[in-house]
Order: sequence, then C-alpha cells, then structure tokens
Amino acid sequence: MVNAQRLMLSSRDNEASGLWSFTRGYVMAGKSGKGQYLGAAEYRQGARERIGEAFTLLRSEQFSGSVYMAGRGVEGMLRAVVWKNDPEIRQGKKSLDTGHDLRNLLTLVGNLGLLQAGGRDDEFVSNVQKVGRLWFNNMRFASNKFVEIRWRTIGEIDHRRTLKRAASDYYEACSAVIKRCEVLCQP
Amino acid sequence: MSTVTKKKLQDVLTTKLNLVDARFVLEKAGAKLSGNIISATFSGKDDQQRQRMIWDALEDEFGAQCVHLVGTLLAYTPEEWGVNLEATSKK
Repeated sequence: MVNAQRLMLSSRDNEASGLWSFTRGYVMAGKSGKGQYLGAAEYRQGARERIGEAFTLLRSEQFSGSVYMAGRGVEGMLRAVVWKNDPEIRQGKKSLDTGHDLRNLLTLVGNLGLLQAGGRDDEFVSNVQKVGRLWFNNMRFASNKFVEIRWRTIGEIDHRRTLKRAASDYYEACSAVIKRCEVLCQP
Repeated sequence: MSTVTKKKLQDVLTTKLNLVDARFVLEKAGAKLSGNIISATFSGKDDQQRQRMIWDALEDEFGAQCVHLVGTLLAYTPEEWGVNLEATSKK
C-alpha cells in the first residue's frame, strides 16, 4: 500500500522536470531551443493514436498497457476539446491547470457548455468519471499485477469479474469518450 | 514507402465490411491514413467488435503492412456521429 500511495502521489513528476508543461499546453523541444507547441490538433491526434494502441494491446491481452494507453487517450481528447473551445487557454490568458485529473478536465468541458442536457451526454459524463476512477497518471510505471491489485482493492474486479473483463469494459468507456470528443472537435 | 489512397481505403472497407451508406472522414496522419467511418452497419456492435472488423479487413487486403498504411479509424453509427447536428437542427 505504501508503494501504491507513492505511485499515486507523484503524478506531477514529469512537469517538475521542466521539459513538459501540460498545464500550459506546450512542450519545449530540448536541444534545438525551438518551441514545439502542443495544441488542440496535437492533443487530438495523439489521443487517437493512444486509443488505437490500446486496442492492439487489449487484443493481445496486455491489459495494463492497454488500460494506460486508453486512459491517456481520454486525457488527450479532453484537452483537445478544451483547447479548441476556450480562447483564453489558446491565448495563454488561462492555463490548462488540471494536472492529469480527468474529472477536472470533465468539469472544464462542462463549463464550456458543450455537453447536451436531457440525457444525451449523461453516458459521456458517467464514462469519464469511470475512467477517472480507474486510471491514474503513474499507471505508465505500473505492472499488470499492480493494476490488478489496485482494481481489486477498489472493487472493480473480484473473484467473478476478471481483469480481462474489466479491461474490456474500460476500453469501451474510453473509446466512447474519445469518439464523442472527436465529434466535438469537428469543424 | 508504400501508401494507400483514400479512395482505395474506402473501397476496401466498404466492400469487405458490406458497409451500408458509409461516410468516410479521412485525413493524413504522418504517412498513414486515419479518420472516422460512419455507417449503420456498426449498429449493435461494441467498439472492440468494430475495430476487429476493420483490422481483419485491412489485414486481409494489405497483409501485415496494413499497420504501416493505416492509423486509427474510429467507427460510428449515424446516430453517434450526428448528435450535434441533430441538436443544431432542433434549434
């Protein structure tokens, strides 16, 4: 449990390195000194690639990798939607300061008024909350066993519900979120 | 490096998946084609089934190199794709 807490608590380590700044939405390109900006198009394209990779990994039963990739895809797509629709973030007047908390990103998307009332986006909200509960940024370091124990601890899997089943359902939730965001990103 | 045209990709998937009233929104992503496919044929299938259909068809046509030609293709039913359009038309 101590190790699990450590892994959970150090979620901003890559930002602290100074190379990446997801909060400001850009990444500096190292030695060349030229800034390479990460905006809506890059977040979107990266997210599409992550969900594709998640499917490949799921198909070959590499569950922790699939879960990590799909969750990262959700983060990227939510960032793309916020970036595309919030001019103050694009202009640098406001920062995309959510860390990697998917539920905070969901709040930002909701505040933009993009989601439909009357039940059409209830499933979208529910899926982001589900993924936000199961995914964490430092999952990138986690073994299959670690993910399995964590998901067992929070009741996502048990003696009747396998990691394979849970990872499959989780993929469907991530894919649904990414597909809805893709529609929201259309011109 | 070999590539595939949008027309070829559309033809392959429409034929092999028997897509009904298919609409393709394709774009270049690096050397690959990626994008969205909208068709009622995907109704009643979850996203893993849709992805398996797509990738089985691509592998059948292009072999193992399909992963170098094609990127992520998201599969929608017309209802899933048209959520916003429907909302706009009701206003």
